[in-house]
Amino acid sequence: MSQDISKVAKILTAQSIKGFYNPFTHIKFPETLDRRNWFTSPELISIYGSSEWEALSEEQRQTLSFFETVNFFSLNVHGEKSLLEGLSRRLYDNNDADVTDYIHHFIDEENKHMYFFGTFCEKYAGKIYPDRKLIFPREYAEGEEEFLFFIKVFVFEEIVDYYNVTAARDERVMALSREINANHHEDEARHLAFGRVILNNLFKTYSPQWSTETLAGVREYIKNYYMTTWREYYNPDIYIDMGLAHPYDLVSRTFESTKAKEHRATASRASLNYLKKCRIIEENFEL
Amino acid sequence: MKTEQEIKEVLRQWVLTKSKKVTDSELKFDTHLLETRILSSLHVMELILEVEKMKGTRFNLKNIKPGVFNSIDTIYSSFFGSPA
Repeated sequence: MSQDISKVAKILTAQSIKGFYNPFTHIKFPETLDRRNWFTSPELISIYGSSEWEALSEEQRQTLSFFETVNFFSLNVHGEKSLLEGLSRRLYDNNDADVTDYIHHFIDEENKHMYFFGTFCEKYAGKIYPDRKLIFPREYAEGEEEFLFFIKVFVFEEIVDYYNVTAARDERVMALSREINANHHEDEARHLAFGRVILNNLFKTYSPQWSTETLAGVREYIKNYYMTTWREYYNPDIYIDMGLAHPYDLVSRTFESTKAKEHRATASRASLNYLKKCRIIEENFEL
Repeated sequence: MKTEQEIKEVLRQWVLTKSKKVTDSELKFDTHLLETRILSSLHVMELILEVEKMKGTRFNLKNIKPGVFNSIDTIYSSFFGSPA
């Protein structure tokens, strides 16, 4: 590990210690929630601006915002479970004590977030939407698996953060949802900083040794991972729960719409620009 | 209601659209999709949605094993071959 990562890890550890909290008392979850509320910003709702959206009453739109939030929080539960597995495997796996220290805080904070997201879903929706992702074993070039683990963390967290920041700042959104989003953003700011540095460092260390084919495969993987991550934001389970007609067709139609593409481009711009700046990708791509 | 051949052909066309690693003439119903990396883990989520859409039902994803996606034949037999 480079000195840069060590230095960043040390600073982030100090900040994590300063901001340490008890997750079981930090956020109060009322017994019930009135679904006649905005649970996320309307503009973040997958079908926002579509003819299906226009056909809904205000109350139906708010109910949809509830199920969209359950989906968003479910994605976070699944994403953080994978993240915790990956981070745990990396504990004491390098010679940098500062990085190991910070990974302990990273794990602690992700576990807290998962508790918030999971509690909301289970308590108010009675479920967590299932994960449709499957991972199959394959062989990797040296450093490739490590790099791909952190690129997945990066893509997942950067998109999530866009949603967190937007919902947390939106005064239309009900207090509990704003609080969960704001709290997540606050901790994620450190995780994003760590992820960016480690990603750049891993790429600089390993990519010069990769074959042209491996590098092209890594770049293709990044693009596909963005697409897969985004696809999860258009979940037919939401539309089924809302009783919307032809939920699977609605997923395809919405995902391919110009409005949705523009939204994905906006929400992904900062992370793509960072990857381009680090020469991890050659050009920004359409999502 | 679609026949076995028709369903497999829909799946074959889906794979051809999503993967640039195989040509129309190369892709058979028994071609291995994962070992040859015609499909990656990342394609599978979309494929699950496609199959759910064709069947009109949601799956219990906990029961899905990687072997299910080995080929178009195995996808067919796992999801369409016998009553769920």
